[in-house]
Amino acid sequence: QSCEDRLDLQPEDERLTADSAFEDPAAYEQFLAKIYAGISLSGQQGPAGAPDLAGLDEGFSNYLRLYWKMQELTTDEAIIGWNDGTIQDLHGQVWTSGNEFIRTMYTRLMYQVTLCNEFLRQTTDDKLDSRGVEASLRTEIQTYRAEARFMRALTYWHAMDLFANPPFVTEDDPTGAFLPEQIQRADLFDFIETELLDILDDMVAPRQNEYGRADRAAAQMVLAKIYLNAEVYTGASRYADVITQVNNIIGEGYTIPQIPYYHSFLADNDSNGAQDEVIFTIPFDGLRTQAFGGMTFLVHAPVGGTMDPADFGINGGWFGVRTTPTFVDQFSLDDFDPAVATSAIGPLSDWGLIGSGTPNGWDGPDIPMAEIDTNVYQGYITFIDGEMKFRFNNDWSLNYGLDPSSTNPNALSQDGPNIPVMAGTYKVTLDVNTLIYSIDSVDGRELLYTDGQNKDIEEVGPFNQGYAVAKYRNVDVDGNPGSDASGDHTDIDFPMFRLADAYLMYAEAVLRGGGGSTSTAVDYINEIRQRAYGNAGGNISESDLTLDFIIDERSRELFFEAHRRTDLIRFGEFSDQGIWQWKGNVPQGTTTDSFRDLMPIPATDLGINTNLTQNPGY
Amino acid sequence: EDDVVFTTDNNGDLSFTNNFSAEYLLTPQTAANLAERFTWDNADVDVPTNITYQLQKSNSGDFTDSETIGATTGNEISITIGDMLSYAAQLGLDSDPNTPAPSTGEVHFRLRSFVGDGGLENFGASQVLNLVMLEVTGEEQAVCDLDQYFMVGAAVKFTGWDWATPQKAVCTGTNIYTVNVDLRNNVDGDGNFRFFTTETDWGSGINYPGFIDQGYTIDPMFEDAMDGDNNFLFTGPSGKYFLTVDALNKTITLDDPTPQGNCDLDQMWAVGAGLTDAGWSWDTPVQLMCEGDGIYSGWVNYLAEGDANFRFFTTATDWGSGLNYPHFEGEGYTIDVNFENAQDGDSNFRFIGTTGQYYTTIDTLNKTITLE
Amino acid sequence: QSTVSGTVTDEANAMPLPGVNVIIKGTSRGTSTDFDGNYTLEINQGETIVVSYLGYTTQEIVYNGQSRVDVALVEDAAQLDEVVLIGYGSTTKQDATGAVEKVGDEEFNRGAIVAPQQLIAGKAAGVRITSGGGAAGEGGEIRIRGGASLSATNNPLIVIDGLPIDQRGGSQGSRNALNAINPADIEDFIVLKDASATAIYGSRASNGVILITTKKGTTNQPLQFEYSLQASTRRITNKVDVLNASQYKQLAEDNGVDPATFGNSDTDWQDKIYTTGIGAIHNITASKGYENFNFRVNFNHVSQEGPLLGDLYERNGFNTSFVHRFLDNDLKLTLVAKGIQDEYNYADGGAIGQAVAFDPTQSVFDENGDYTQLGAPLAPANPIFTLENTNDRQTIKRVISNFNVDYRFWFLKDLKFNLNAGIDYAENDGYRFGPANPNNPDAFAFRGFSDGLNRNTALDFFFNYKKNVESINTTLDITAGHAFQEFYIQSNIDNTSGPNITIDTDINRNALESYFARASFDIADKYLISASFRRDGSSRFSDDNRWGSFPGVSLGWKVMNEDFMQDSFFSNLKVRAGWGVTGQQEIGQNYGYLGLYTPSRNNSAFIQFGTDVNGEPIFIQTLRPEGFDENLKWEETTQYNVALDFGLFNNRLTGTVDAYYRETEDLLATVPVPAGSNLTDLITTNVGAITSKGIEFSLNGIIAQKDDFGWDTNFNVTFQEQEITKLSLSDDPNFFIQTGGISGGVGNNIQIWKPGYDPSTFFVFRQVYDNDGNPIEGAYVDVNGDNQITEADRQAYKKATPDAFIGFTNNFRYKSLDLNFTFRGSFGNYVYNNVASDRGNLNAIVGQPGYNANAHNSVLDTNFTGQNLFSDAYIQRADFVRLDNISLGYTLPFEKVKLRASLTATNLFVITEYDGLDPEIGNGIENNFYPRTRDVVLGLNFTF
Ligand SMILES: [Ca+2]
Ligand SMILES: [Ca+2]
Repeated sequence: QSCEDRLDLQPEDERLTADSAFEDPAAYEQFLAKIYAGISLSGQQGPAGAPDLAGLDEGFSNYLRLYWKMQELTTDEAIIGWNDGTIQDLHGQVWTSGNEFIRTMYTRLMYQVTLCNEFLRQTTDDKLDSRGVEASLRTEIQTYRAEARFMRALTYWHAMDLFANPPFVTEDDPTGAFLPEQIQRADLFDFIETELLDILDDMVAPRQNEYGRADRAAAQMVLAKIYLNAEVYTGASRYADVITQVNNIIGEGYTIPQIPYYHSFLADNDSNGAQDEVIFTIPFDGLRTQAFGGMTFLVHAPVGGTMDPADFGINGGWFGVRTTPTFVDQFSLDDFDPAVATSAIGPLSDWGLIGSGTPNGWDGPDIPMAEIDTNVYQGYITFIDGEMKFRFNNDWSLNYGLDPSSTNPNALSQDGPNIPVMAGTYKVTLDVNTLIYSIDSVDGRELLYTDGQNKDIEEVGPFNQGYAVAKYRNVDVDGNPGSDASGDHTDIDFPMFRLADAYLMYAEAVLRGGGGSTSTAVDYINEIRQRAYGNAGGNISESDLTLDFIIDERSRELFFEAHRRTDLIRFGEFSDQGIWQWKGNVPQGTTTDSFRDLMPIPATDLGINTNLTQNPGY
Repeated sequence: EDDVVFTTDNNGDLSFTNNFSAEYLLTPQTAANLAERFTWDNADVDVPTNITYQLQKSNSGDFTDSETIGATTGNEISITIGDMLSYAAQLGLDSDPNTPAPSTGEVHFRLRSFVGDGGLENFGASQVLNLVMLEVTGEEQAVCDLDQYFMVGAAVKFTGWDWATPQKAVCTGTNIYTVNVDLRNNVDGDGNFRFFTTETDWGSGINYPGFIDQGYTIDPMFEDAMDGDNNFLFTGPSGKYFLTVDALNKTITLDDPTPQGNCDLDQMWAVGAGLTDAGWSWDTPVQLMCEGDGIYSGWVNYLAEGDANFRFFTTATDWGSGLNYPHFEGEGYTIDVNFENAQDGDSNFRFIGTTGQYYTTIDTLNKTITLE
Repeated sequence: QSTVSGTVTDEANAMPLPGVNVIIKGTSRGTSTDFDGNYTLEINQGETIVVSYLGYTTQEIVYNGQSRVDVALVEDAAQLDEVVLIGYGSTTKQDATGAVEKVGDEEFNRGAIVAPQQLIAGKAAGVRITSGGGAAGEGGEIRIRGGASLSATNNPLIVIDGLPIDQRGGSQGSRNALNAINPADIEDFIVLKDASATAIYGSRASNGVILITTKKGTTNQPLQFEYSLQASTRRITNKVDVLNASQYKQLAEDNGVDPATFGNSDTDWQDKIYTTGIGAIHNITASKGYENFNFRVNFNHVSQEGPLLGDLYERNGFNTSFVHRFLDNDLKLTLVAKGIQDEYNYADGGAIGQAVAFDPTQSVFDENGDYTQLGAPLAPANPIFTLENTNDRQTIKRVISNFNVDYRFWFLKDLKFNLNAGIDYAENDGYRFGPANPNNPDAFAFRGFSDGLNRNTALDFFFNYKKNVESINTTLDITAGHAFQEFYIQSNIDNTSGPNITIDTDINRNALESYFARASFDIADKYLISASFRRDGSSRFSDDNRWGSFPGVSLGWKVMNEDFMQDSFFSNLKVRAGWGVTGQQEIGQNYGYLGLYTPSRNNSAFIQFGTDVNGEPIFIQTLRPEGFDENLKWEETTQYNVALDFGLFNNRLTGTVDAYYRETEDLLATVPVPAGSNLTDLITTNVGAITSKGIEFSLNGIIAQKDDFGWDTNFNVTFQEQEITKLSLSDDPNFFIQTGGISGGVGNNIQIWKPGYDPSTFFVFRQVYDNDGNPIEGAYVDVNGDNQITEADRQAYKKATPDAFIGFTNNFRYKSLDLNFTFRGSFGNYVYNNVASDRGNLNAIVGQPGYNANAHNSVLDTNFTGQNLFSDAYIQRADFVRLDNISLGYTLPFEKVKLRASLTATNLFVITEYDGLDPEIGNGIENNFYPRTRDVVLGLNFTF
């Protein structure tokens, strides 16, 4: 062996050249897994290490975390107090083309596209022939290829939505030193549409694929999404196509499970029934799928103040994310009459509420509850700060207060201590069978935490400014924490697309003239609202079904699920309309210029890639 | 330049550059309109730095009660007529010529600027704005094809299938008919009713399919009763509703009861043993809606047996908000002869007439309580 | 006793020589000649007079009762032509044409020095050595002419006795891989600064080359034993300025903290974590020389503690050298072998930040005797708890050995063959136990094992032909050879933290093959021409880019030897000029040009695909394609150097002025890829260019050279500047990359790479102040006039690297006492005080997630509520002059034994206006810096 030959070196550890990697048939599935991991994980070592992207702290470079920040922090739904670089410019809507979060989002999107492209390059017929891949695996690989194209279309949709005119690369481009061309938004729309329509037949039928992998309905959902926003993307509306795609999905057996809304965001949301609604999920696991982005961020960052981390199945909050009063007011109950609502949910019973926290004080008659099931009573009530008890027939001989002997804080006992209550309108439930009570929001989606929190945001930094949001919790329906005993990482799967979204898209498309049926739309929405209220008390009628209602209802139903920015832009309320606290970087909020409906092409990429033109305004 | 220290200081005044009107005329109909656009020039602080401007408002004029109503890094803040109406409300202005409250007042505005997070504060001179509430001289003339729709049927409380006391949805807007009506769900085994265009004319009825055929969208609390006459069936919870027949947009809708005139309250309440529907409980209090300027009225079932006592309340479920017989006497009311002071310790009202339903009116302007 | 007198003259011209040392051998008695070259001396019969003078051959005359002893000294060619190594050969100081500087044993810094590079701190112009702090076994960053790269290494190539050491260090798990060389064992350092001198080292020479020669025995030398001991104490000299308990309480209470949460103590946490470290260095050396054979054996033991509690470094080393000559000295075999065992007990540096942040009202232990903890998961742990419960050890065993064959051909005595076979082999083995976060009851402890090996094998040979061709009055010196070197690094980790298990092995191998040649001509002892050429092949680049060529040419004119200089004022004058091209391949990655696939590295980066029959998730390992640049190639540095060497007063005053200009092209920088073009976001590739220039002065003076008093001095000053000239393929002048990560938030950077600026330039908001000179929080100069402060308003401002730095050394001798001291200074450098920017605000106290912490006391001046990380108020002037080293020694001349005792103090004081911990911070960002210590060292040295 000559010395010169000894300069031809190849890796000797776990790293492999492409040819040696694909000697293992499992490599194709593992590569596909990487494409899915591109959204949930940040690198090849969990929770951190061997990052995909090196330009920003690894935890911050996670796809889901970045996408969530783009969609939520820029809106009335979320504000963050951290001092991480330019992160506060997102809510302030004063970002520039130098913003590293926007830059890393852009980079992450294009990285994801290159991963998909590389997969397609490595699975051409020629490559598979040359590697002698056997027939059954080849069939499988055709499905993989469709999923890779789906994942690429999904990512290009995000890029089209955020940046409008991103660089455009496909499997026909090389890897290495070249400058990608820029694509125009309308052309990218055509590409995404064509791709998705083209792969529909190759995708596994809805709800038939392995959990965590995309199926045909996921592709139809992305189609519906681009059609719903087509006017924004291309200037031409496609609402009828929304109806078509959504109908395809709805007919496939997805259901709104009649379980409490909050169950959909718990550690066991892959099995507690919530999964019946989910069209495309991003699975996480506290032990096996760990990243500081993704759900770990979405659970930890909104926890702080007096919130008990144990309620969230985690070891501690990160004291970052809160919401604005604008979002809180989406749950305003100005028109809500507790007495009327109580009598609407069942026959009034002799069980009632009494106490200093109730309108009649300790002296007045009981506030009656309705019987909603055998020995189960429920009533709506507006409390003031104080205490209360359950009482039968205005008489103290049968009354329930807390049960100090029980570990369950919601257990009751005859003549037990008074139950403290906080001001506000609530739904109170008494189960005489089990002697358990609960005090819930009227709308079960109002997952706000207010104790010690100031509704108004006078300063961006402190956690107690603005109500906290308690949506994602790493506990199961019984309150048991997730699988990571250290409380760092979570089991919650992120529901990227779910039926409620599809229903709301249907209703919006109907209202925007895409055809369909108004009464069906109302039925769909009432299905969602019955889960939210736990009964028909929140149902709407056709006259309630307006576009104003839809945008608000989308926020109530889908908040913190990375939809808000796109929705506000479609409704024209993101930039030059719409005011919420700290928008425009002033406490009371102000409107901003409409060019902010698009994110800037990052200055770094403009500096490198001379094919690119900046979006207007930046 | 690297070693320059950037020291900032306030130079010059911070003043509004827009022209102000002599008076700002406020009407609710124009609430969405722009009332004023406050503009100013950039503050001069010696150094090009970030300056925030806040528009502050004061009722007293000395800004001890200053309220920040907008902030910007730009050079203008706009306020609407609606904003000004709320300032007027704070000042206690109203638009009713019949009240002693004034209809004109002053609000003071000034500009505050600061650099960075709150340094180098500077205040501009105060500017007074005169607000004028336009007095209401009369309702807009409602124009309808009919004077009213009559509602008769078992579901209509105090009416039933009888023309004695028909419920009238009257014209309150262009081809809009409204009424606060007590609806009963399946009382006496039936909950049906029908609309009529002509009083006492059973032939003038329009049933459920009759509206559907005209293309109406009907509130989901109504159904076709399928009772041979295809009457309306009320399926919602019994209670008072604001019913609207919108002949223009072809809808029939039910909403929460809605006051029909200018009253201090949306409604008055009454509970007590003398009220058949209520008793001494807030479960089903009697509601007297605001049905005209200063007038609370509605049908009430009185019981002349037992204590027959009751009281009026301004706030539901608030036992402290009761108004007893001497209260109204003290205010100089003329009280119907069917009532007396119950002399029961609380000095409640007592009904001493014949058990039955009476249309009860509390007229707070003319200070009368009447039964008919 | 008799009296003897005489005159000392220069043999060449019979002129008297003043100031010549005339000493009686083996005693401290002696004198020196007066202006007329005369001396008088008391002497006994049989004693030997030693007459010595710099630049002349020393003469010894045995006194036999003569009344006069006149001496004619002969100019010593050997001394003027002091041999200087230049890589694959040697030259003389006189004939050197490149920027080559030798720092020998006598000039080294004194004290209990563990890291070899500290020996020459402040000693050579153009060479800046910045220690990383006061940790036990800490080394120092060496920058020759500021380094030439951005993302590739800026470390010089270090060659130990002919074996080039891995530029990445050569061993893992060590604070300073150079610690493998015993400072007491070093004969000299040769610093090759310019490209004409370094080009012979080709692709690793852009940052300069340092040749270290270790001590050997000498021929015909009696057996000599030497024992030396340096016992030291080490203490920190400064602490971070934080609030004391009463300041803290007042500020906290004023801002809404419930006083009930205060403790009752006034704890200076920094006092608690630092202690006085004790150290000892022992050296035992034996050496002997025979006619054909000599050897030297040294055993070295080092123990160095603290100052951070528990920090300990220990070293045991054997250093041996054997030289054997055969065949009438035509064949010389040299074996140098060192065996070293380093042991580190790393104290957890996290305690430094914890001590700064911890609530000063709390005591170390609570009323139950447990460590006081704050109870919130993100709160700092009690620093004493951290130090006491972390166990982090690393043992490194290393052998550095070189075998050299030097053969002079019998048939052609001018032709030599030289062969070097070297190995540098290190094994490391360590573990770390980190306690579970005491503020999170569910947290897991960390246990990690790490081991690895580094192997560097080298084989090179060359032929050298040297002949004086009298016909053309020219000396030829021609060398040509071949070298091959391979580096193999293996690292194994086995980390467990609760259910997270990461077991991984990384293997990295790279190799270099080289051909080299040099030809030097010395014409008429006046004109010097030297040209060298090297061709390097590196395994790190593809076939197409694998080979690089690195030429160097230099010229010298020994002006002094011209006739017209015969009666000159100068005693030496030489002009030099050089040009050369060098390369850079130390880019940190070995397969950067290859497209690779990497599987998940542990079981926590899997993805769920479906569920099994029991409904349990099935997890799939992922496989990632890596980014690559198949066009990756050499970084190339071109350097020009002109210089003047001069001597005055018979070379009692000598000096050198060197000026250089250097340009690096195809600069290897880690830069963003065009989005979508590669399977990564950042890539190390050849995109940029950087230039640097500088002037170096050094001056050596022998001020007094009397029998019982001597004083010599060295002063050197370096002016330098560096500028990025290109940073992206697009040539966009506004393109920049943020660099210089800081703490306080995540992902924040304080420095910028941008064409036109020094690579250590800060990138800040310009703070706006009120009339009273106080900064206004959140108010900065709005550069683009949009009335918003965004990163578009950040400005390049100041830089971390100095414009100039100096070293100033003085050596005094009075009878048997000697005193020497060294100052170092640096000017035009700035430091970003990250501790103040991170913690000098109210939120540091009240804005913490679930606990309260202490603040930097700058909050009392600024009154800042929150962090103002990018304010230029935190960029502070950090010029300094430091008394680095002062040493007083006394030599006791016993009959059989020589004993030297010394007392040394290091880092005695620093003059600076910087008000952070220390103005001398390598990257210009002060953040949880391990404070430098002041060492007091007692040294004893016995020679038998
Ligand atoms: Ca999961
Ligand atoms: Ca600006």
